Amino acid sequence: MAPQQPFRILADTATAQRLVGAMSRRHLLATVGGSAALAAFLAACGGDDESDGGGSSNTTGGTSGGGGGDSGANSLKLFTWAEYDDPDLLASFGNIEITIFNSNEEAIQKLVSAGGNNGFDMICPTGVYIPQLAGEGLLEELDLARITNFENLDEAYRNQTWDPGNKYSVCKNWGSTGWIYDTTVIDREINTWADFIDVAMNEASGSVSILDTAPNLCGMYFWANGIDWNTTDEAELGACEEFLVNEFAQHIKAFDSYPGINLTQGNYSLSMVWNGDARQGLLSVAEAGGNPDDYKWGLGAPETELWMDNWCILKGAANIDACYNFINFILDPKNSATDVAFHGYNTGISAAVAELPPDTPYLEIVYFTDEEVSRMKSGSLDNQEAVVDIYNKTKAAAGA
Amino acid sequence: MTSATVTTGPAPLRRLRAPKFLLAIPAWAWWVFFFLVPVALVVVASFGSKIDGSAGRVSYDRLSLDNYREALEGGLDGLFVDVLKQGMRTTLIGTFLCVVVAFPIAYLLATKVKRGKGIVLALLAVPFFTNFLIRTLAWRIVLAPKGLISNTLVDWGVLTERLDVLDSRLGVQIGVVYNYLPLMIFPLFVALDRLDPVLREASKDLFANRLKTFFQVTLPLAAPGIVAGVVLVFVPLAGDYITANVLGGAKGNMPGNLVATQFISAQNPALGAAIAVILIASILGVLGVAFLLAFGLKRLGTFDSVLATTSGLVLLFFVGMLVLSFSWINVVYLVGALGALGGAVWVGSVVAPRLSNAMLWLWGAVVLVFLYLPIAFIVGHSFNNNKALEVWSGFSTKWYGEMWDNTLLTGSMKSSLGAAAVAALISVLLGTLAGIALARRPGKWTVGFMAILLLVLTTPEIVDATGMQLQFISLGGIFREGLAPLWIGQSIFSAAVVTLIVRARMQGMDESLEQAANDLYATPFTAFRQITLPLIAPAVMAGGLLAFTFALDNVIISDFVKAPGTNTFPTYVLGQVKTVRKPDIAAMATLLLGVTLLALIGAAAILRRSGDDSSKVAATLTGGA
Repeated sequence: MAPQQPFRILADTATAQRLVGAMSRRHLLATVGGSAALAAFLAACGGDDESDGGGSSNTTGGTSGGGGGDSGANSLKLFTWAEYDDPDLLASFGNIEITIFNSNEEAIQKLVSAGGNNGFDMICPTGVYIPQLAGEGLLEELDLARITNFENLDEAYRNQTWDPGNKYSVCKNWGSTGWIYDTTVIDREINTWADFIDVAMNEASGSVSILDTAPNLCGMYFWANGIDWNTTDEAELGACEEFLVNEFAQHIKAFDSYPGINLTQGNYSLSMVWNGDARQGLLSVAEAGGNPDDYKWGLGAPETELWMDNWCILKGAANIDACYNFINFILDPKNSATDVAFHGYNTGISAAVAELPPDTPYLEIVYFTDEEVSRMKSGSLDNQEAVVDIYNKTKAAAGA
Repeated sequence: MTSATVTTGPAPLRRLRAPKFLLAIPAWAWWVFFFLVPVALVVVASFGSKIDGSAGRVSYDRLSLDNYREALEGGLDGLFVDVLKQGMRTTLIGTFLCVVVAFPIAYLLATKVKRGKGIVLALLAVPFFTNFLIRTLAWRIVLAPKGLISNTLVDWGVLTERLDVLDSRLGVQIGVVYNYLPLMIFPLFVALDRLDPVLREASKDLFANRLKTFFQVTLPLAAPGIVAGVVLVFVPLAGDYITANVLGGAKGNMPGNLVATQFISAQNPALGAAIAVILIASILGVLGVAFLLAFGLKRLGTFDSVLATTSGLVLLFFVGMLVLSFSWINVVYLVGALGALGGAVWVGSVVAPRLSNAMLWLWGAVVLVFLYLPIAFIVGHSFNNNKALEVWSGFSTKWYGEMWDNTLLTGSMKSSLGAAAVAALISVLLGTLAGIALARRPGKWTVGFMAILLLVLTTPEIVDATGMQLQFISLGGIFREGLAPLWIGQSIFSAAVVTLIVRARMQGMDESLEQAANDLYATPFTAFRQITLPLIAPAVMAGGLLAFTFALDNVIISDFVKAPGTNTFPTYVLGQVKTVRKPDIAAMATLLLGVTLLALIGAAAILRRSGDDSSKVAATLTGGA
């Protein structure tokens, strides 16, 4: 589905106006980054507490939907990533049965092969896959009027290019990609993707892990070389393949999307990592009485990824009222804060920051500075086939 | 039929006149519908093509060999051929190492251990009854570079650098030997144990030295066990991609993995199906060549048939290794390894017999430690205070409490137990009837039936799994709901195991008792209930228990056929493998191990009470190889 397609939303007047306004800022996140979010974030930190706009948290039944429906419905089946939701928080909402998937492709394949929602009510895909899911007719169009807490979501995280007007999705959280390394093994600073590649091919050779996704592997090369990571330019893709397959692959120890724990166990000395997982790794070291300062996290530079995972309702969901109730529940700043403390990703709700316990560790890996956010670029599926091809070839070369 | 009646005396008044194969029909139908049809679907899909732009639908409009071309001719960028070679190499080395590691153990157990054989056997079996995925994951704790063992070895100065075994080929090799070793030990033990000690004594009396006795008496008689072990290890290992995935890192690609990826995330089942067919062909090809080689050697007349089979397998191993990765250094390694092995046997048996005994016992101890190391670590880490399974941060029993709050985990366990119980029941029903028919009503039909049964036993799980997924999705309804798909999926292999166990038991039994019952005017049903069933009960119990254990441990088929929203314990753990693992899975696995142990002890007690000695118990529990 092209981003330019017209769309219609069933919304009340206030929401509609807000959305029309938001539409003009459609590329906000992808281009100027989340500076608006940051502004909101700073405002929240500055004591201008707006969190009461989101209503107080409801720990028993979930907040009621705005557009009718059963406001007490609290049972649903969620299809999502592992370790991505605080079980205690979910339990305080009601009865949520989770089935996990390991990649967007796997999730889509499961639904397509089942020819529908497969018995699930909600799914949590990454943004760029939403057009594919919608194209397969798997997603329910959202009635934003029923999501009264939608307004808690910072404008920067609404209305993304892959889902204009939040027709199908609401931001769950977003994150970015960087690296984490063992400073007892690597004694130089890694400041850019070029440094990352250089260290990986030298002192960290044979102990590097790379995220197990095609866009991230290729992104590393593109970011290091000042190339747009959504490039469809044959020459650029060819150069990327040439480098990754013939020069870089031999240094890779593993393709691992959750390297945090493996790194702290000494399996890797350098890992490409999502920020939330880096934080989990550091926390587990601290918990085990180790020294987290032995490991250093860095956000990708000069450019890096911005991905967003989203709440979507599956077409034909049996528990649609519960879905709306749950989305409202999770968009509540207090609940959102509990979720942030669990997974370590920015939920796009600036009012949640004030709700976090003051001693929450490593917040700098959760909430990024203005400068950091400006480095982040959204992905697309424009070059999906090409990067998957490069990724397969690199994997073959690394396994040889 | 009449001639048989004549030879056994006057015709009884109420002899069962049912067709010979009647009792085998349910099992036969089950396998035709849920094994042959799915495998056929895979074969058909392999000629289809992916519908462009769809997420994984197959079109059958234009059948072609394109997928095979793509797989073999540098499509997938030559990846498949490389992975297939690599996988076959891992499989051959793994199988070979299993023989080398297991033979001394089996020999020790069969010939040197005088008392408490049953206990030692049980000790060897226990690791096998720990969840497959969990015990593989355990190696990640055992071998962690910053783990207890690595740190201790560095502190003691044994190692100068931290262990660097995980996420490498060596890691995979250790993992597969570990996972499949018991499947080699048991058939070897059964074969060696059946060997009458009188034969070896006779050899000694005829002035053969120990070496001669070993090569001319012991080894030839053990050969059927070696063959059984090699097949039992080779086939599942060739199709296993999970061990390699968990322990191999970037080097952990196996052919089965490519099939799974095409079906799961690459969304091209047609290509995956073609790869699956090539994989089966490779496995059957390797086994076929091995047996042809053995047959050829036998025809040369220089070898006893069974010794020839063994030599054939060994030869095949060397040829295979050289074809897959020819380099002089490999030749040196292989010749060196063989030389060292031969030297050890020669030194042990001729130069220093006493020393060889000590070495055997030492080897036994080393293997026991090897088998128990991961189990100890997984049990230990179930008491880990940390949120991450691998990162030790103090003793705590909290996960034994908290795991009950993890509804995903407990739900998966419930599904596992429920599915495995029904799958075991189905296997027992089908397998018992088929086993009786095979033992009591053999005929021309047996050939076809045994062919299906052997196919069931030798088809890599991933092929069956993908085929059943295609089948169940197209059938829909009950095949996509609740536990029904798991009942079916988990019973296919188990039913074959039960069949073999029951057949072995029946063949060892005198038919005259049943005939006497017939002669005494018992109805066929009464004769079955009062005579046959009590006699085969131990085999049925043991078969049921094994079926239950296999079903409980099943990963690949369950992962492919499970209904939406259902997880079994292994598929739940599989989902965690690629993410952050919590100690609650270790706690659950420990609990499960405890329960399984109790069940095993119970089954062994039943078999003992029924008069079997320990080696018969072992034989029954391991499929009567």
